[in-house]
Amino acid sequence: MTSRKTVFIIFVIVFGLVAAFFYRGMSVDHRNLPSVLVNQSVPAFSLPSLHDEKQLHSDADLKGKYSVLNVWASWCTTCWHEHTFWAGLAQTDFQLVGLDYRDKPAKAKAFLLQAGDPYTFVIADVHGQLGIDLGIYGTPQTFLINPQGQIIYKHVGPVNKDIWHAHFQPKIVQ
Amino acid sequence: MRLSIALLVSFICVTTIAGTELYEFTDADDAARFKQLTQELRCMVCQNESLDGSQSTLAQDLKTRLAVLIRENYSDKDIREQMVARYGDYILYKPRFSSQSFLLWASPLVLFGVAIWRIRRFFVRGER
Repeated sequence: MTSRKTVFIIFVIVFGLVAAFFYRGMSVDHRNLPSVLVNQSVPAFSLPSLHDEKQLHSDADLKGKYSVLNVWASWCTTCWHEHTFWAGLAQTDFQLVGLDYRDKPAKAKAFLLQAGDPYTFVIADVHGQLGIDLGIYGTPQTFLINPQGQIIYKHVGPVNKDIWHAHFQPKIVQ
Repeated sequence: MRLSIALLVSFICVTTIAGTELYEFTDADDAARFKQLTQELRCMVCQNESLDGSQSTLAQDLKTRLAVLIRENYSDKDIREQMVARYGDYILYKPRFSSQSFLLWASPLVLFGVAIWRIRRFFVRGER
């Protein structure tokens, strides 16, 4: 009789574990992967400016003040919608930097000409090399970088007013 | 008819060869390492495809980077670590042993142990 009881208890425990495992599996958002780059320095890079090929930008340009690095592309429709948010954002305590990811510079420039250019400067990553160093697997993605050049927050997907006020604004310390 | 099939087959062969030549190595060992690594690493945007099997632009970029790292004589371990440092454990098909994956690796052993214990008890009792 006791043996039956233990079998039943083991069955309940195993069932509970499996159920808990599956429940967690269903509730985890698989697109939102843990950020490995948070608390690390921005990788070293040297890439041309979108507006002037001869002008080079490097990781040094992301130091000295807070930088919001927005990864976008003219072929990314979600980025078009996100763009209206960036265009309407007052930039007082930080610089908004664009990273044009795997894009044709002419198309990116045409897009900014039409939709407005809120960026302090735009880095052209035509071959996605900085994209690899930043672990980018989709656009848009936005990094918050502190004045020491460390990534302090990363957001995958479009940023809107709510996300900005919840995750970005509070981390920009004066 | 036969000629057209032959032409089609040769065309397919030519295009596939042209596709793989993108990542050419002078050293056979390097080529083998490239093959091995691209099968171990996940294409981040296609969920269940390795870099080797994927034609996505991200997979192509990552393969180009792998080829460069192999030619620059980075070890397999260094390359894997570099990829994990950027994309996280998710890029590896075989999860590493860590505090987070402990349960994943330990649970079969625990279940096996429990099963052995139960079976032993069953037989010990049967003998009595």
